[in-house]
Amino acid sequence: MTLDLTPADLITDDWRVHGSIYTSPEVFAREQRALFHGPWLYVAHESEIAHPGDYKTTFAGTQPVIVTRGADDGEIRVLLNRCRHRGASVCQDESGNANYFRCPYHGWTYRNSGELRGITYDAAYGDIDRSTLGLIRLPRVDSYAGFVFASFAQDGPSLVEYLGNAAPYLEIVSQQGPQGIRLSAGSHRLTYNANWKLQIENTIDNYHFGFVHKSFLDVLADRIGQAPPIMQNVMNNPEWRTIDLGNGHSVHEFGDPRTGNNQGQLGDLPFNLIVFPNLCFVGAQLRHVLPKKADRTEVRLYPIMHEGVPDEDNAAILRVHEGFYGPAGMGGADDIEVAFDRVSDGLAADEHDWLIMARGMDNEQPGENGILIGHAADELPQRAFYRQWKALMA
Amino acid sequence: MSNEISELLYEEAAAIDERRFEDWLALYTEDAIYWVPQGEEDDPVHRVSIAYDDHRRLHERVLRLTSGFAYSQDPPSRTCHVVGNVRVTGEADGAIHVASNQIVTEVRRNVQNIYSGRFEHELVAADGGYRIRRKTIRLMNSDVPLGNVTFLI
Amino acid sequence: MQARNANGNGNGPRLSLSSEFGSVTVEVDHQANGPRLRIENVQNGRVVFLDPLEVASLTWLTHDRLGPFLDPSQTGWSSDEGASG
Repeated sequence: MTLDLTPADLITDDWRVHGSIYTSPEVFAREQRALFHGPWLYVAHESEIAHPGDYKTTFAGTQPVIVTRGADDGEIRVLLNRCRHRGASVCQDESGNANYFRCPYHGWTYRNSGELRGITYDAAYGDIDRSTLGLIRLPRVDSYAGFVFASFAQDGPSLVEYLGNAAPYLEIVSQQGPQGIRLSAGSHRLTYNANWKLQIENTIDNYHFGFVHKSFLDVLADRIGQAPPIMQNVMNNPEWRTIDLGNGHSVHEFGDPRTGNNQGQLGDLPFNLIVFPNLCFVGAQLRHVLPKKADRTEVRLYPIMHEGVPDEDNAAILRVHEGFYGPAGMGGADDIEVAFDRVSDGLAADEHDWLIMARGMDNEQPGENGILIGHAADELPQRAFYRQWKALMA
Repeated sequence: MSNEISELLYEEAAAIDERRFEDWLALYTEDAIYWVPQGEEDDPVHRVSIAYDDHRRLHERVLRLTSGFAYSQDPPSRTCHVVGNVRVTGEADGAIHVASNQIVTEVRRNVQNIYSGRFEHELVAADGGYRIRRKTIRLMNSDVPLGNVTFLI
Repeated sequence: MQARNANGNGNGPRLSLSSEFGSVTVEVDHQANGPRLRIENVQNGRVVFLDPLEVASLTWLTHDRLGPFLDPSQTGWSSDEGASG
């Protein structure tokens, strides 16, 4: 099916959204160029590559990359996980320690900073310039509050400029433990057959909580005697609010961002945060959304461990996280069922392909530094995302 | 003795497959742990698991499965457990350690999934028979990106 | 007094170090007049013995200086020497 509408037409000024943004392979391909080439992309937390030689394999958009800590200089670099010879992926492990990488296909050997160290039986290559055959490095790598980002674009806003109003929230996340945080507990891996943007939208949607997660509220009621007033707070608590932070970022605060809580669970962050395009913070986790195809997504959930607390405290955070999130969780799986699988089913009825993302559209209140503030149940965070989407896809 | 042990494993599987969830829960002791590790991890204190449930949480799972509002189980999974290679592997802390290989076929929303792996039970004597103090489910695909695993394995 | 390792030859315990790129065993060797560090490359069976001073000198290493040993055209996969890795 060819795309009859330009990206600008796919989302109207009064927030009618065309379903093809979730289903069209052309839109997906265009997003990989427009959304994942210029912007800063999250790749790792510094704690995941703490020592010289440490590396992690992950994805920048759909491209497999290696995040490395320099052997001698300790610098963090992001390399395409692809041998310059015949294209094999060089590192297979999700994490490891190696100061040199040797490609298993023909033994080409690279420093973990990317330079080609040597070629096996190299006389046949004559005077070839080895310095041009290193693993491709993403030109810009930077970190903020311990979160490492990289960009395929040589130029553009700095990471701090890019994060803008989202930066203070990242700092708060990094201060959850008395001595900071680390990602050391592994990650849940999920996959579903629908578009990656559905996960982003759902992560910062509190309007759905009382509906999709009714069974979990019943579980909490059974556990503590009555259900926590989550939906009442969503609808009535003025300290619970959604904010368009600009640049596609958004946050849903549960009161004071330093001390608030969603009346949910131990270890939960005082807000849900979206860092455009595909990094989220929700519950007690960092959530990395990996687009694979228009109708296929992988999601990785990294529980955030607190530095400077006893093991039992962090274990308790894990147990609470596992209760709601992950493939066997009593909450997250309902999101996959309703917000992804059933939406995917419904989108097939594309005879009339328009959706509506206008909740609270006339209620966006300007705040400091260009932010827009809305009600907790408004679709303001989703509009924040798609404002940036429209700007980049044009 | 080993006949009684494998009978317990078969009864547990039947209780799940026949959706007799209260009967299933009754097979577990009050201090039971139901653990589904992720990958090769053997350290639930420091590493996240797919599930690490105490009795309270098992009770909550059963509550959800019978509530009708658990959308991830609406429609409910149909499961069929095949229990094999049952062996007593030892005895420690007053419990008999039993290993088995199990294959669980799960059908839901027009898709059939196969889950299999090594299952480890710790059984303690109770009420003239046995009850389950610990069940560890080491799924073959536990570190592969998963979908909906909210049924009882 | 030296404990016996699995080989029964008086060497220290054999330790393994593996990544997706390489695999070695390391043990303290007592077969010579003094202790040496015995390093074996599991992938090709090559063995090297380092005396304590040599091992101490390695603490001056930077990973960059190891470069020539990691260049496969200079160790084991040289066009001049043919296949020996």
